[in-house]
Amino acid sequence: METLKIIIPGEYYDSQIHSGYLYLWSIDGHIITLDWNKLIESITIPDRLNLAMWCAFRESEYLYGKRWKPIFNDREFFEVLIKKFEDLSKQALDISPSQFNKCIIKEQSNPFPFPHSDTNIHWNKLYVGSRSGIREAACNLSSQYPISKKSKVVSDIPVLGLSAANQILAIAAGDEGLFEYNFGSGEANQENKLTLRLKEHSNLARWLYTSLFSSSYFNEGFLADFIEKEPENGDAPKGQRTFLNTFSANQIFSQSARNGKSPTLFTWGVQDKICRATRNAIEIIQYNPFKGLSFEQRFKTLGSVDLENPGENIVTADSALFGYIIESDEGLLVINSLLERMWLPGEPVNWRVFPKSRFYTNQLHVIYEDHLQIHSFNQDYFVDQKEKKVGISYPTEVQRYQYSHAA
Amino acid sequence: MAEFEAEIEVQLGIIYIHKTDHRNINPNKSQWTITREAERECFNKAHPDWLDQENYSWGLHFENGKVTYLGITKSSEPSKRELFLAKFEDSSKNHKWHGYPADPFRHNQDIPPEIITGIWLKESFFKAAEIRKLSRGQLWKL
Repeated sequence: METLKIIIPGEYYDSQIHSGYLYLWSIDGHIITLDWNKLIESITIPDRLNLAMWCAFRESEYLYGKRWKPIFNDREFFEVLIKKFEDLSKQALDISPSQFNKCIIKEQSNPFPFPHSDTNIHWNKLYVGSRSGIREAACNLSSQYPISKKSKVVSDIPVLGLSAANQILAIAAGDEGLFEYNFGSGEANQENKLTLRLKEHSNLARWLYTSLFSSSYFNEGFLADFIEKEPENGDAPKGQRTFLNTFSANQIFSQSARNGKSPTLFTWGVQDKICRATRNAIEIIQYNPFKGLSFEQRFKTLGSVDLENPGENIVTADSALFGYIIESDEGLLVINSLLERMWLPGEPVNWRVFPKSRFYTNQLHVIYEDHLQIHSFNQDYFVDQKEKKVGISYPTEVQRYQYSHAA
Repeated sequence: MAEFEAEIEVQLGIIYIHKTDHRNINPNKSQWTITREAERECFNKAHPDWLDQENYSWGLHFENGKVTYLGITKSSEPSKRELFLAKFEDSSKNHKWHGYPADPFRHNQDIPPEIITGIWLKESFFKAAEIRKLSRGQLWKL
C-alpha cells in the first residue's frame, strides 16, 4: 500500500502534533500553531475517500482493535477499503500557502530556548529540552495563545533527548546518564523529583511500558526494567512501578542467532520491541513485562530483518506502530510492518514519530530545508499485532486503559 | 626545543595562552590540528561575539568561508574523530584566555548553549540539520 503524504511548504526546525493542533517551530524560532483538522478538511478529495482520509490523518486509532476483525476478514470489504487508501494515495495532498494561512491559529514568539534539542507534549504541557535544561509551558490552549507566553524552568540538567509517560519525563542527558523527572502531584513524587536512572552515557530515551531504554553511541544500550505494581481491587494497572533490574543490550541480545556476527551500530527500544542494528540486519527482541520475572519470560527473540547498506553511520533510530525508522548520513529508511522499505533520500532537518499519541500513531513528520512532509502509513491496520516483527504492537485493551490514564 | 605556554596579547588587555597539553599528543587531551596563529584567529573571532552566559567563548575555524576541522579527539578515546569546535575560557578571571578543541559528541559541556547555536544558525555557519545533530549529541561529519 502506498504511503500518503502531505507537503507543507516553509522553513521549519521542529514539529509536534497533539489533540488537533499542529505546532511548527519556524527556523527563526517562532512557533506557528495550526488547526490540524481544519487543514485536513481544506484538502479537496472525492467524498468516497473521506473514511481513508479520516483514518490516515485525523484518527489513526480508528481501524485498530478487534471490532473491525469481521470486516477485515470479509475479502470484499477488505479490498474496498484497501482501494480507498490506494486511490487516496493518487490524490494531490499538498497544502497551498493560502490554505496554510487560513488554518493558522497563532504565530507567537517562542517562550523556550532555541534551537532546542528535543520537545515532548504530555498532559497538555509542552516540554522543551536543550543544553541549558528543561522548560515547560501549557499548550493546547484555546485562548489567544495556544502555548503559554511564559515558560517555567523544570530542571537545569542538559538534555539530548526527552520522552514522557506516566507523568514522568525520561531525560537522555549525555555523559550525565539517563534521568527521570517525576512531575506527578502525589506526596511521594514531591520528594524525589529528579532521579538518576542509569549512569551510562545516554543519547536517546524511550519507554517500554513503564520501563526505559537508553540508546547511546558510547555503549551498547541499556534497559531499566520495571515491574508494574499489581492494582488493587482488580482495577486495571495505572503505571505504578517497581525497579527490577538493569540489562545491557548485550545481555538482552545474548540469545539472538546473529549475536556477535556483526558489530552493533545502534540499539533502541520502544514499547514491546528492542532493536539492534548492525551493518546487514536489524535484530529484534520482544519485551513482555507482564508474563513473569524470568529473563526467558521477559525477552523473546523474534529474529531479524535485512538491513542493506545502512551507510557509514546510523545517526539515530526510532519505532512506531507502522515500522522502524533509521536515520543514516544519507537519509531515512522506513521498514514497515509488512517488511516493505521506503527510502527518503537527503539529510532531514528533523523528524518525529508519535507512538504514544492517540490519533497520530501512523504519522512520520520529516522536515527538510524548505518544507515539511507528513507521511501517513496505513498498512499496519491489517497486520496481526501479536505476530508482527517490525513495528511496535498495538496495545491490548488493558494497556489502552493504562495509556488513557498516562497520556 | 622545550614546549612553552606562550602568552600573546591578542586584543587590547586580553592575553591568549597556547596550552601545550593540547599540542603535545597528550593521550588525555584533544589536540589542535591548526597552527597556533589559526588558533588565535579562532579565538579572536569567538571572543567576545560568541561569549555565552557562563563566560565561555565558542570558536570555529574557517577555510574559504566554510567551517572546517580544527582538532582531533584525545587518543584515549575508543575511536579517533575530527573536531570542528573550540571552547575558550578565562579560568582565572584575569583576562588570560586559553582554549581547546571541544568534543560535543562526547561531552555535554562541549555542546554550545542555544545562545551560540542560535547565532550560528542565523548566520548560516551550519545547516539546521547540523544544529539539530549538534544539540542532540548525534553523530555527524562536516
